[in-house]
Amino acid sequence: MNRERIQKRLLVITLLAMISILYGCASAKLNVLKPLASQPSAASLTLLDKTDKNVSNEDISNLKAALSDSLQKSGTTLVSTEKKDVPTIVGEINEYDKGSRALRYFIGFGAGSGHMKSAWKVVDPTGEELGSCNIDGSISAGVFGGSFYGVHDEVAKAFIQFFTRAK
Amino acid sequence: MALSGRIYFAALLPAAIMLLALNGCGTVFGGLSQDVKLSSDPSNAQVLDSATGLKYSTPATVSLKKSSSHSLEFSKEGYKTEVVPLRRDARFLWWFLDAFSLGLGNLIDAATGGLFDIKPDQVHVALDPIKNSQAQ
Repeated sequence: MNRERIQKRLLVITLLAMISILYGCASAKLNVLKPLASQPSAASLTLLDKTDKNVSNEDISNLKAALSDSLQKSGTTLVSTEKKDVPTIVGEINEYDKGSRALRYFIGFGAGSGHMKSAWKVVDPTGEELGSCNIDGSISAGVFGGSFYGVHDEVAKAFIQFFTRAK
Repeated sequence: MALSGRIYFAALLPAAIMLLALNGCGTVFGGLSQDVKLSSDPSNAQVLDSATGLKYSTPATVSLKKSSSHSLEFSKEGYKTEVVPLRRDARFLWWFLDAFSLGLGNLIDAATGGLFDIKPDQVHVALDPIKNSQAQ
């Protein structure tokens, strides 16, 4: 009887631990300020680091790669900024803190959590703003503490939500 | 009681053997390499894989070994060079199944690269002219 109780409690604890890990996984919150009228078939991308501490080139490249991958899969081709006849996606990274993967893994419960805040707008070749949104990403747990690059993926997914939900 | 214990054991033993047989299942089922599509705008950019030293020209589909970390350097004359680090994300399923071998399977899969997936599986880079170097 006691054994059954212990088994049930262990199961509940395991489930709660799994739920807390999943809840703390990388995520991103989208806040649309101005929805897009239509999804462009091609666009160029400019990422600006507006943080007081420099975001590393590797991180910028990774975020660009995540966005490029998501854009390609959504049907928009990313082109060079030298092409002036296509809309430009301008992303500004306003806050960027990767946190500590080791703390996330060994301590958890919010320790070592990371976050980023970014603002995005799509402007047409004349400079007129076609749409804009803010995306905040965060991570507080994950497998082996979770990679912050998971936040990049979530931010890219959130951006595609904004980009493809054109009305 | 003794009989039900034997039945329980008889059911558990094959399950335990099956789980132990999953040792290094990521290597067996996940493969040692992964195809990654490379493209760029403009096309015909040179891509250097830092892990192997191999060079490609876009567009291309290349098979990359999952056992090493890859970083791709896209370059073209007149354009800013872009370096795209590829990630190796551990696939939870393989990691979980390997754990039944008390870590041995995890070690095998991690060493061979079978535990990982290379992300992203398609890399498209828009190269910017050198004049536009202010924005990243």
